[in-house]
Amino acid sequence: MIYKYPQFPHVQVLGVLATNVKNIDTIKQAVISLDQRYDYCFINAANVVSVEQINCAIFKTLTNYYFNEKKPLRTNSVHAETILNLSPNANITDSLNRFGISKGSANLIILKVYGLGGPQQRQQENESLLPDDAAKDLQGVIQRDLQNIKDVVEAEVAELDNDEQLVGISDLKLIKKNYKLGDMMVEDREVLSRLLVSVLQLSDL
Amino acid sequence: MSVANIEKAESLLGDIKLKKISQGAEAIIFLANEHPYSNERNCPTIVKYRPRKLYRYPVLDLQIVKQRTASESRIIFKLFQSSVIEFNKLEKKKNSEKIDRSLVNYVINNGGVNCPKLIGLDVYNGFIFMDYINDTLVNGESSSLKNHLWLLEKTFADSLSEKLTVHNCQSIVASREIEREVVALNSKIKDLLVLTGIQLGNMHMFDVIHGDLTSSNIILKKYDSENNNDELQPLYIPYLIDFGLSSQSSLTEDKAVDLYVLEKALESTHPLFSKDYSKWVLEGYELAYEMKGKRENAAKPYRVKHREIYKRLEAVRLRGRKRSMIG
Repeated sequence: MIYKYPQFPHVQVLGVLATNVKNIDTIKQAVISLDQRYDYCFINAANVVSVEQINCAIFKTLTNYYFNEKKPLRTNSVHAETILNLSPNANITDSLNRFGISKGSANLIILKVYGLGGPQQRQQENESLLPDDAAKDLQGVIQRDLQNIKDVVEAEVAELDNDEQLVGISDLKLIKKNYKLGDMMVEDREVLSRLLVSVLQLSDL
Repeated sequence: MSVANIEKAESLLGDIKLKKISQGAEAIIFLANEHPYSNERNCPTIVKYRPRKLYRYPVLDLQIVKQRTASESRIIFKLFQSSVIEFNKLEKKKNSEKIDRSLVNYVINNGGVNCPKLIGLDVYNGFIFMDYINDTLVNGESSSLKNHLWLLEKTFADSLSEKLTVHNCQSIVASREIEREVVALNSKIKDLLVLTGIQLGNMHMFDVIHGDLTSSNIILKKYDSENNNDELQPLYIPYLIDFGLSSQSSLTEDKAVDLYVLEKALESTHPLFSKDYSKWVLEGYELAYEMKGKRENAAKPYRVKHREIYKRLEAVRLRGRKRSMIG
């Protein structure tokens, strides 16, 4: 599934759900050693209740990237930044461990961000990056990456396009703990998603 | 100035198309045709934009915009969060018996507050994205409480004047009396205002002060219930909006002033019936405290709290909004 954001028309994000991942340790090692074939954002799917929650974290990343002039990124890549923005916590290592690939996570959400450009180039890019050629090119790249994901991740890979896919995968107890929900915890997924979106948007302000 | 700001907002929002709905001193409200990040297309969203003020020193200006945008969003979140917590308490008490979680019940049964959903935040440019909770009234106006009441008042006045010409009634005083009687009977208005009052009570119990309560800052949303099939008189549920001047405070004074501001606003927008309207809102307000007391099995402390605020409100009525004469 390709996610698009009308505010940033040149940006496209590939979103994939990998279930029953078998080579989680290999992936973790490869990500840490910055292997090019593993240049994706790997998210522990147990922490996620809805596609909205994922998109909200990406939206926050993009907003910071383009408009926060002082500090567009707190980590060294947009992918790590998205994981950090999925966490209510400002501690980078801790957030990556909890919300990225963590021990015993059998299901991953894999994202890749395309068409970012530099923070200050947004205006020009709107006009230059979008012509059909570039768009076709991008389609090819995305297809290649999708294939690559299927190659490097030993799992059942499906495009993530609705919340139903996450039922049974998200771990509500873990969410309650990681987001420190306490009394606020609700089991209704729609309400929970709304709650998490607000928590994410307001963290570290 | 205003045109430049709108253009600026449009350029910052890329492909999102904006339609200006209203403008205040500090912010412009737009209706956007797209949700900023949802997969669903064509999902209208409210965008509140605080433009930069050119007369302020830029660094300070950035800080002010950031801080105000953040604080408004925090209030919206706090109301939602507190509502959820209240609801959880209730559910626990009922021994995990599942209760209908529809938003209406958040208000009526459990002491919550209806407010817009916070979708996104861009503190660097001063954008808040919220969900669009508007409906249109029968006459095509947007469904704020003000428009709704005006419509009902007008319909009522029209039918009354029709009757008066028929009956050739001469006494103006008598007609005023009739007018008042009939409106008082109009339970639709009463229910709505009591429901608003309940929400205000709940909001104050969360220690949130709205700061700018007027009938146009209360939006009505149609509630589709199975029992209500009356197309012309749909059931409306009030939502509180515009937390730009809101703050968090537990002081009796602030709460009383909040209610006083609403009273004054009702007086100037609905001069004929403001007394009844205020009375109903305060009825709901009291009910909120009563229900909270019942839920917590501590009727007395909440009754005392309510009485304190009510007494203070009477004092505020005599002296006006400002306690100190400075500033």
